[in-house]
This record gives sequence, structure tokens and C-alpha cells, in this order.
Amino acid sequence: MGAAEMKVSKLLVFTQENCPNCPVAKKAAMMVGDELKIPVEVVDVNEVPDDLEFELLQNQIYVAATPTIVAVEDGRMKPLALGDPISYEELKEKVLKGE
Amino acid sequence: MAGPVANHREYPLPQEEEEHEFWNSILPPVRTNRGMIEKFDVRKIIDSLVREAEVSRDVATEVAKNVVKRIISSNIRWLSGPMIREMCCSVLAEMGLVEARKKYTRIGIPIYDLNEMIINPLRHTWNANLQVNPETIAKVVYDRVMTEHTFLTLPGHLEVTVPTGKRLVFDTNIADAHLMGDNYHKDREYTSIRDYCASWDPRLFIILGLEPDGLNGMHSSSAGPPKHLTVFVNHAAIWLASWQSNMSGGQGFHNWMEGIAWYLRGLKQEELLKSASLLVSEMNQPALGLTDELYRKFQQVPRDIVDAIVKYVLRRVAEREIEQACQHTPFIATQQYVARGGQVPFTSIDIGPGIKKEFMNEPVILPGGKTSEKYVYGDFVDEVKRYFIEFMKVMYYGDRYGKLFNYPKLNIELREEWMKPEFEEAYIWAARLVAKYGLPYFVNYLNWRKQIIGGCVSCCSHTWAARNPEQVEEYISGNAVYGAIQMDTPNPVASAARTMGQDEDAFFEDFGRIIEEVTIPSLLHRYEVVKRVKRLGLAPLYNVKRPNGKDMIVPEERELLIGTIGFAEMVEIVTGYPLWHEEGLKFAVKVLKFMNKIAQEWSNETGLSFQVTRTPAETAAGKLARILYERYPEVRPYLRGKYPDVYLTNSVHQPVDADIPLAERIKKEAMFAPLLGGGFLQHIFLNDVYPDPYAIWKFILKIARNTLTAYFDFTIDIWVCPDCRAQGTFDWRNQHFDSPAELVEFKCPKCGSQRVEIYSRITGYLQGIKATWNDPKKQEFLDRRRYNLNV
Repeated sequence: MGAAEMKVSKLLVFTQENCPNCPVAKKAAMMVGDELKIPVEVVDVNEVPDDLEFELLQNQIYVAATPTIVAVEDGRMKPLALGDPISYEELKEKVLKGE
Repeated sequence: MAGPVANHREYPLPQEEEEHEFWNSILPPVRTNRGMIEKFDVRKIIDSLVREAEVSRDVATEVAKNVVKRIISSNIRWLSGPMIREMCCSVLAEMGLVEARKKYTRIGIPIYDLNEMIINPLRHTWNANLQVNPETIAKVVYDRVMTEHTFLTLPGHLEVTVPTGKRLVFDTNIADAHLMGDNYHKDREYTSIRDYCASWDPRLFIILGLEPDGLNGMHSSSAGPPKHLTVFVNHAAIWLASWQSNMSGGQGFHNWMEGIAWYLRGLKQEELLKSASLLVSEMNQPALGLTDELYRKFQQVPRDIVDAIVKYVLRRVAEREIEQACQHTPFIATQQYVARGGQVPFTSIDIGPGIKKEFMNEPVILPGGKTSEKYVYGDFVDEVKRYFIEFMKVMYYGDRYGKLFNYPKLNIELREEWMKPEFEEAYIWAARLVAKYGLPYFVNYLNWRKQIIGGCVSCCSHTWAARNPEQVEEYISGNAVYGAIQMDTPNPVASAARTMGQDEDAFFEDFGRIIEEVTIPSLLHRYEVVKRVKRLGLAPLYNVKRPNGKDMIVPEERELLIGTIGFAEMVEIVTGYPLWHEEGLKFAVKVLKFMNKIAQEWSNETGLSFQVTRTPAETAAGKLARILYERYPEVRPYLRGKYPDVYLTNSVHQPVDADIPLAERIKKEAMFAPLLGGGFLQHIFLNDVYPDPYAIWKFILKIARNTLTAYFDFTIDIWVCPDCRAQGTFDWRNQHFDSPAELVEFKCPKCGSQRVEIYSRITGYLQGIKATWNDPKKQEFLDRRRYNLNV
């Protein structure tokens, strides 16, 4: 399945310094992004722009822990991982299923 | 005005002494507050002015002379101590000595008011938790006197030493800011003498036993750790009641299920077998109290049959004990008028249908503090589930006449480890309770809050969580004490009013000034008060040691809460948009972040924990609106209700009458929850007449999983008649009241009794509207939009 058939238009990866699971999640997101042609944006959780934070809250998402991965889909946002470690395979499956 | 005089060396001068003797000889005697009639003595006036008003002896003499002149010139023939004091205050005020007058004034109640208070005490309070009884008179009199005392003694100059070692100095006017409606100083009648609210672990009394005086039982008595279920429940009730006497806010328990688990062991098959076997093998005639004939017959019954019968009986005994304990709990919570002048204690229990995952492998703490070598908490999952269901049933069936129990507040925890089919029956019972009374509250650990270990709720709507590994360890080991020392609420509507027509920056400057110059020092003032109370031993329980050696109350660990109120009105004034509009929401988030930034900065500065929270505002909503109405006529169109029953919308809630769908309301309020670290309770006002419990349970899960909500409840309005004992709910599609006065006239639909009461949730608890709600809250009740569940 190519990106053209995908609804997900962007992956947001929220990380922070000294977060043990962040590098793996970031790498997984990059690999999934490359493979499915989805742009990936890495955001430091301590420097979330106000507009993005508001958009997340409107979508009932709060980044309470890292790594958090959020899929942007038709202007809406869906959390794929909320502070839990996630592998490339798990993430890819979630993106493809649109979970 | 009597008392030793510190320094006589320079006073009185000979000629003055002569003059004073003359006055003393011609003036009438004085009725003193020592209950005696004493000879007039001007030196006593001078001495007391020096001592109490802290003026120089010259000034005191000048004041006293003026007072004497007034008495003589007006030919007053009847004098009392209070009269002379009033005259002194009048002279001090005329001399421009305002601070001296404040120190010297007498706090009291006019006879007319006191007579009114005795006849109708509830007209003199906006506290909906008060009932009519003689103790309530003591409470309203106390409240009036101590509130006045607070206003007169809140420091204008405050120096505080904080845990970071810094000494902070503030020049402020907390009292005037409250009276002007800029900052709401909660619990004024208690802020100079006690702490605010707390959540406790029942294992504290399981380990320590019970000495409610905090004086090793010297004034009360000393009870050992509970060994049986009913004693556990009694200890729990006394624990909360005694702490309620030492604090101004709600008292609750967290880790209730872990605390009670071991006391349910009588239900365990192995315990039944052990007990049965022990009883059968060791049975003998005297122990059983049998007659010779019965004993002979008993011995003829086959052993396996005796064993089965004994097991059955023991199990029924255990079950019955649990049923009794469950029934005992809400009755104790609602029948003891022992707290804060004739109130029942404001109590809550965090409760779930199982054992929390972090406790599953932890050894059980036994009475006295030893850890069990036999049991871990995880061994009691089935038993606590059974207890939970039994408790829900008791609450469901209500009291003798089926009336709801409004205490203890049941905080039902939603946790991932219990989202399994085997726990569904228990949760459905909680949903039944919602359907019938709208009673329980739901604490959500299924969304972003799933990361929280060591969390609980207490009082009206505060939520707590362990802040560091040490606190997590205390939570696991039964040593955790959560709670806040004070809540102050800066009024954003006042700032919006003052900066109307200017840009946002002006609003933030004004609002920030109120928080920094009034709210923060006010919170720190109570921190200082609690330190003083501890130091002087004025609340002995505070200094009792926990099992880990810490004092029960450690001021440095308590939260300092910055409250929220009137965001709906503030946002509309500043942005021109309602709170449910995107622009309104955006600005509300901006203001909350602004408040959090200040809270964080002060946390860093002081080493204390400042948190932003929802203000319960059962009184503040009406009081602040009334002040705003008078002080800023231009904001009148933005206030809710009709004058004089105007009110502000609570906290960051959408207005109760906002015409928005339920799902939208829930989500648009839930998005604020992560920004309210001190807690945020959301309400869902229902119109359904006994909604389907299964649908409710599905809806609860939908809210918990798909929104950011932290804590929520459902409210059903119920009428209960004390005469014919009928009760029912309202169908608001066919029910209408024009005003609070009409609401009070509501009669029992069945027997027509005027004494029928309506129960609803005033803010974070249920209470009778007709008897106890203040008028602005009654107006808010009428304005509420209720929803039908379409799940």
C-alpha cells in the first residue's frame, strides 16, 4: 500500500532528552515514514508550539510521557503510542490499520 | 483591659496621677468581661491601649483622655468594657490610627444578628453542608467571628521562610483583595488555625491503631490496630471524623481496597477449611456450651457432615459480617453530626473492584505493621470484588426508606487491570448506582493518566499523585498522606472587567499581578499558619508519627492550590467569543498555561508544590458575581443568572446552560484536565428517568478512553419526601421553575408535603437544595441543561 492510498498525512514523534525508549520509537517512525512516504516530524516535548499543543488538546491528546507518536489524518489526530515503547512492526501495523 | 503593666517607671506623672484619681472617683463603675462590676480606672484603658493597640504611652493617654471627656460630657451613667473599647476605637479612627484601631477593635456579633442566628442559622451561611441543629448555631457564630478575625489579622507584611532556604517578603492586602472580589480566599474562618484537606491510607490505623486526640490517648483513649472487619470500619470512620476536626476541608481514603483486603479473608476457602477443621477437631463440650445430651448427639453425626455444616455456617457468618460492614460504612458517614459544628464529616473513599497492579505482589501489611508471610494483596482479588459489589448494593438500596447516602463520596477508579470481563459485573453495579441516584464519581486512569502511580482524589474535586519515588514508596507502604494546605482563587473576570477594551497583554498583566501579589502570598500565609500550629502543638494529631517516622502533616509536602473560576465569562469579555468556540477555548488554554507557568516558577522558587485546580465555588460563584455586578456595571451582561442571584460559571466549565451537544461539552471541558494538576471534576447533568445501567457503563468507558477527562460524575435530580417517604426524579422536559423562590415552593408530587427535598450535586457533593443551597446556586440549578443519553 502506498502513501497515496494512506489517510495518514504526517507522523508526529514527541521525544525528550534522557528518554530511554525515544531513540527506538524515533527510528521506527522514520523507517515507517520512509517506507510509506509519510512525513515525520520530531518534536521536543518541552518545546511544543502553542498551536500544536492546542490542536492536540482539541483532539483529546496530551503528551504526558515520551515517546508519544501521533498520526495526523484528514486534519484530525490519533495517538498511536502514548509513552509506551513501540517497535517498527507495531507502528507500521497501526499506521496501516489506521488505529 | 486588665493585666500587668510592663513599665511604671515613667508613668504616671504626679499631676496626672491626681487627675486620674479624680476621674476614677466621679465616673460610674464598669461591667467588665470578667463578669464583674469594677471601679472605673483610667490607667487600665491606657495600659491596654499600649499593650493591645501597640501605641506609645503618650498616644494612649491622649486617647484615654478623649474617652473620659466623652463619658463626662454625655453624662453616661452605665459603662461596660466593650463600650469603653468602642469609644477608644472611635477616637483612634478619628486620630487616623487605622492599624492601631484594627488591633484594638472588638470582634463580635450584634445582638440582633445573634438572635437571628439562633432562630435561623442556615440563613447565615452559604455552606450547603450545614444542617439545622444546635451545634450549627455554634458554627455560624464561630464562622462570623473567625472570618472577621481573619480579615483583621491577615498580614499586610508577610515574611516566609520556604524549603529552598529563601526568606520571602511580601507587602500585600489579602483581606481587601477578597472583599473587592479580586482573589477568593477560601476557608476564611479556618485559615488562621488549621490545615485544609487530606487523603489517608487506611493502613495508617491498621499499623498504628487509633488515638484520635493525638496525645497518646490521654484525653480520649487508645485503641489497638483493628483485627476484625467491623472494627476496621469503625476505626476508619473515627479516623476521618477526628481529622475532620483538625482540618477545614474534606477527608478521604485512598488504597481502601488494599487496606480492607486482609479483613475479608474469612471468605477464603482455605480460611474456611482451617477454621472448620480447627473447630471440629478441638471441639469439646464446654467450648461449645452444649448440654450433655446435645453433645452426645453431636458426636454421633459423621465428621464430614459436621465439617460441611460448619464450613457453611462460617461462610455465612463471614458473608454476613461483610454485608454488615458495608451497611455500617455509609450510615456512620451520614449519621454523625460531629464535624466542624454540627456537620457530618465530608468524607470520600477511592474504591475499585480489584487490587491495583502495583500491589498484586506486595505482602499484606497486618495489624500492628508486620508483613504477612502468607498473603500478598493479589490473593484477595475475588474477595475485594465481592466486597465492592456488596458495597454498591448497600449504596443502591439506600437507607431504611431507600433514600440515597450522600457520604462517603464514592470515587470509583477506572484502571486498565480491571477492564476485564470478570470485573464487569462489579462496574455494572456502579452504573446502577449512577442510574438510580447519580451518586458515584469516576476517577480515570485509562487515558494519559494511566502513567500515574500513587494517585488519588479527595475533597470536592482535587486529584493528587506521587511526585517522586519516595512518595511512590510511601503510597505502596501505607505511609502516604496527600492533600492541600490552602486554595485561593484569583478572579479572572475582575481582571477582564478592568482591562475591557484593551488588548490581551493588559489582561495578563492585571491577572498576573493579582496572582503574584495576592494569591501566592495568601497561600504562603496559610503554609506559615500550619507551621505555627505544629510548632505550638495546637493540633496534636499533626505531629503524630507515621509508621515511617514522618509527622502526619508535613507542611512542605502539602499542595498550594491556585483555583479557577469564571473562565466562561472571562473568555467572552476578553475575546468576544463563548468558551465553546475555538477562539474561546484557545484563550482559556492560554490563560491556564499562564497560571501554570506562574505556579511552576513559584514551585521552583520555594521548593513547595503550587498547582492549578478547579475551585468548588459553592459560595465563591455567587459572592464574586455579586461583587462584580456592583463594582463593574459593564460586566453585568456577561454574568449568569438574574440579579440578585447572579453567579459565575464554575472553574473552566462550559456554562451550565450552553446549548451544545453532550459529547462536545465533555470534550471541550476534558481538554483542560491536563492543565489542572490540582484536579478537575466534570459534571454530566442527566435528564433521563432511570437510564439503562448497561448503556451508562458503555458511555463511561467511552468518556474514559476517548477523552482527556480525569474525574467525572453524572447528576440526577431526585426529590424525596420525608412525610410519605416517596421519591422520584424529574423529567425536565415537563418541569419548569421560574425562580429560586418557586423552587423552594415545590411540593411532594405524591402527598403535597411542602417538606419534600430535592437532592442534586451543588459542586462536588450531593445535598438538599431547598434547605441548604444558596440562592445563586439555586439559580444555577434551574439554568442547568440536562441531557438524555444516546449511547
